[in-house]
Amino acid sequence: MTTLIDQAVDAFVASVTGTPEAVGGVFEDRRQAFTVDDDKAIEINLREADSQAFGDNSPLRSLVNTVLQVELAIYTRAAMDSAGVELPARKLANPIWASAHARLMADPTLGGLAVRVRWRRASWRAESADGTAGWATHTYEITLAMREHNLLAPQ
Amino acid sequence: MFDPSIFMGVFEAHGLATRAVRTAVPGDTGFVVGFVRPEDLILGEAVHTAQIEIEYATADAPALAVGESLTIGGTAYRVQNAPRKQGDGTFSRAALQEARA
Repeated sequence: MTTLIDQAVDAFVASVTGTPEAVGGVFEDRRQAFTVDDDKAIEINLREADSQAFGDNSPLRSLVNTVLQVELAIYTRAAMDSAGVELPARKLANPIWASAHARLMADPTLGGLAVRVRWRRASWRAESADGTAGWATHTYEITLAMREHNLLAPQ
Repeated sequence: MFDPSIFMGVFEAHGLATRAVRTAVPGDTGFVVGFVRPEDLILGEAVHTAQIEIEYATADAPALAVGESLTIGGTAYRVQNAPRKQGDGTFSRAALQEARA
């Protein structure tokens, strides 16, 4: 049994998978640490779901407006040039994000499963390493409308 | 005055040290370095990385600079941070990264 939440996250991952700039691959909940060979990868994590019920107290009639928080994290490794200069992690990640975002916005309903997909915020982290390792983490909200008694299909 | 850097050549002869060649210096015969490459997990243990470092007699490469290319054991590296003198300055350490595109 696949709930609407699972279907929506699967559709989100499928939409981002194939982002051509993510040459290191697209992963969900990857447990292995990323290496220098994984440069320019995307990792997707479902962080939380929150809901608000509408309608009366009958579970048969009430709607549940559910908001999923999904993180789309872009992993990059910088390489120093002969002048000793590295591109910032932000600049390395931005083309990947722009491309992945365009794929999501091409169908912000995820094939009719979601009311909409919205970008909400981002954070950037970098640490010196054998080529500076950087993460640009973008949080998306997927809004779903479900019947309280049925988590399987959009209503 | 005692100069411990005289032992670097002996270390190299016995396989305890290797040689770094400055790629941009024509005909460079290189200088003797101790080379370590411990691996570590960073950024919340999400990223696997190598902390590459050389130690050498400061007098052998006094002008080693950030971005300079070195070849060590057939692999190309770049100097990642300004070399740091150790103790009385006889030896210095420099962090490297593998030269990629």
